Amino acid sequence: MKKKSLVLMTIGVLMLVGSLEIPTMAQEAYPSRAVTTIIPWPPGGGTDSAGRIFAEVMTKYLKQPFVVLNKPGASSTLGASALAKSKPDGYTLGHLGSTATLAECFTKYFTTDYTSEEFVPVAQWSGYPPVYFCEAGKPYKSFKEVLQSAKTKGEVLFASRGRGEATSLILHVAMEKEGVKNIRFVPFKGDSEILSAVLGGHADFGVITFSLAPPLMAAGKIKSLAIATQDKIPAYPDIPNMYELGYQSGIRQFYLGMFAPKGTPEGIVKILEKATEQVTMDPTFQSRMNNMNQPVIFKNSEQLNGIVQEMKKTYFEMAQKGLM
Amino acid sequence: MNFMELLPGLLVIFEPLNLLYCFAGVFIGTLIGVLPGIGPVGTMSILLPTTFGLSPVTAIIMLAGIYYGSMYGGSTTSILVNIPGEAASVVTCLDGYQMALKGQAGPALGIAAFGSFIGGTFSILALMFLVFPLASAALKFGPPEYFSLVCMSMTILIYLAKGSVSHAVIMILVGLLLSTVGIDMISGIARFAFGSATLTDGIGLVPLAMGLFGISEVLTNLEGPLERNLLKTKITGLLPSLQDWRRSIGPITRGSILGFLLGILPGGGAVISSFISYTIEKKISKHPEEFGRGAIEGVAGPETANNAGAGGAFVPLLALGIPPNIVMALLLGALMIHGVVPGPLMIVQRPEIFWGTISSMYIGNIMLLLLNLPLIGLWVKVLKVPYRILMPLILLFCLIGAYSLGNNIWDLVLMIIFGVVGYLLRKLEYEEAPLLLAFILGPLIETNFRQSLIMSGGSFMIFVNRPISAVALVISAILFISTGWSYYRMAKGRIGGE
Repeated sequence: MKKKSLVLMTIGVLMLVGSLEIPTMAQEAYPSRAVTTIIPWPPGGGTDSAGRIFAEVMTKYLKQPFVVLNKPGASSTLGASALAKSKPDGYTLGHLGSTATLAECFTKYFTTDYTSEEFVPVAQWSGYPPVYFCEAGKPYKSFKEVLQSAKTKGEVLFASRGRGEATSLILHVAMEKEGVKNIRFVPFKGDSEILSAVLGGHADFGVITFSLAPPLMAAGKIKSLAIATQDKIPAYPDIPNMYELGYQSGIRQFYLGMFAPKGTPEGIVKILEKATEQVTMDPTFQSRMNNMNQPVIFKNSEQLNGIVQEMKKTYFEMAQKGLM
Repeated sequence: MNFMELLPGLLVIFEPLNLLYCFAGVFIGTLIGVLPGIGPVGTMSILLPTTFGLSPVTAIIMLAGIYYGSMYGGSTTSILVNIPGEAASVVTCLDGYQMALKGQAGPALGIAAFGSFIGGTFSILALMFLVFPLASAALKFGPPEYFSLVCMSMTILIYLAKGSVSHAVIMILVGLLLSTVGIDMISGIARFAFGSATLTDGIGLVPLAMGLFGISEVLTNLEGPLERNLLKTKITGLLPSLQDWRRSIGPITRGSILGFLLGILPGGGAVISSFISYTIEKKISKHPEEFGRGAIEGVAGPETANNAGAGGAFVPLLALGIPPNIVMALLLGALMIHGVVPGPLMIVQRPEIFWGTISSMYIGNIMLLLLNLPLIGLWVKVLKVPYRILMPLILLFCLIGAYSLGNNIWDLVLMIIFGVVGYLLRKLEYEEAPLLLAFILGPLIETNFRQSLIMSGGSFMIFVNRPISAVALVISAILFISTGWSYYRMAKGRIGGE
């Protein structure tokens, strides 16, 4: 008896799942069914949370559920690869950052089966500016003083995100300009390890995503020295960025944007671009992102493409210098 | 600490809505803990949007409940079918499953539940009184200290062996080798990936654990099911007897303290504490030969330690806003969405959240105990399900669990390969547990060693100059020599006796 009902239930569930997947035959207004958004990070990080908030608000504007699918792995390139290989019908999209879109610049590190040409940038809706910081008790008053101290007083330990990572490259640009050599890059896995290392005095300064910094600054635990990109944080106008300090690295912004597989109809890209703009202006979205100290930045498809291309050029130049 | 703020905070949990969500959290947590592969991280992130409409304190009460609830459930499958529900329950398989084979699944599950309750409650008490001093103490652990601590853990891995010591050593080395697959954190270069994007990411813990334990268990049973006494003998008791309690009280006490302290440290704290607890119990036991053959101490100690570790993990999050593991990162994210920022100022700015979370953990632990004890009867009945039905179901759950992790089909392939490997290892009498634990410790020992040497510019003195590191190394050396000596004497004794 029990066995029978279990079988029936299984069949029922299978039929239900099957019916969801039946594609609509007629030319209907996009979107006419649920849209899958690939997030190439594991559940739980800041980007994943932001992506889930985005999906929730997007559902409100396009009247169809936006379903998040986490495909983490290989520094977010596995998810990007899945996006590049999916059907360009507008029903599979992805939220990607610079590493995922520009993986071809990191061939030394990853084996990827796609290039940045296989994506259509839809729109940027956020970014994650990284900040160089030190423990509050350190004698450094500014970013330049850290470089000076490395020049005059000897070895300085930098808790880095790893070799070839953009924030390490940006620091190399600054060091080259100031003629500083003896900063030792100690690689750590993830921002919380970097924070622990710097707060525990195991490294002199480090780099984290800015969203983690405000509570620790308010509690007097850390000092923010400089934003690694060209971003400005409206609530903290006093923190300079690297461009203001005179280190034009060619890496202006760490974008987080929506990308579609190449071949997605232009009309659909336009609809999504418009909806993304609406989401970024939505008060609920803004307040939730604000709560997470995650910036809301809108750039349209063309502008986002410009940023991607400039970054690509920079990465290739750095690779030629042997920095990556 | 201001105890005047404590009382209103503690009362937060008694609001009916909070009690309801606390129960929902621990209930879901128990379920996912029982299902192998499906862990708290995936579940919490799927449920995250449902908390948007709640008040922040209710949200964190539920999410935290899922986390420590899953630690309770993790032991169930270890004991019943020899598949660890969570990484922290790997060592529970060693004696828990043996107990189940002897018809003692009830007492094993019971002592795991009570141990979890005691360990969990102890860690909340410690969390309440010591959160700030402990958080700053944890920061003293830099790469050299970690290296020495993991070194110490490595030297005692050998105690996990119930059979041949040389086999255990080989398994440890294989585990270390497997852990080197993937992108090397320091140079950023892929090792042993053979051009595969999946391998670039390294071998996943879940496919490895479920393959070695779960799939190989199913394969072994295909030959002809193991005899389970449960089916023949009458189940004498579902709960631990007085005799069981007498044997377990020591392991539970030690497991509580050990688990909490190691849980504070980032990265694998709960896993390390569970097997250190096991080895300590085996080492100081008057009858070490029973370990691996169904000693209740081997279930009580580790299960207590991993739950106490779950409480310890809250220390850096609540006191500093630094998440020591991915689950805590998720909680941090959930709080931030609600505009609450965990960190040094949270206890001042939002005391009701700080104390509300802590008090919810007391109530949640009681709920878990009340929830789990009646379930024991049900779980034991699971063992009566015929193998021809139980085994395909185990296989199915392993497949779903491994796939749900990253929606990656190659994880399934890896799991099946490791299942076959695990089956062959069993036939040849090699044990899986040392392999798996060495696999978990491998990246920790390697990364911290290399980070330390980069910090010191290549000088090994960094491990001796720093007091915590030096002490840990001295202990490792003593353990290493004493183990070597005792095995030498044993071997000599055997030769002499012949």
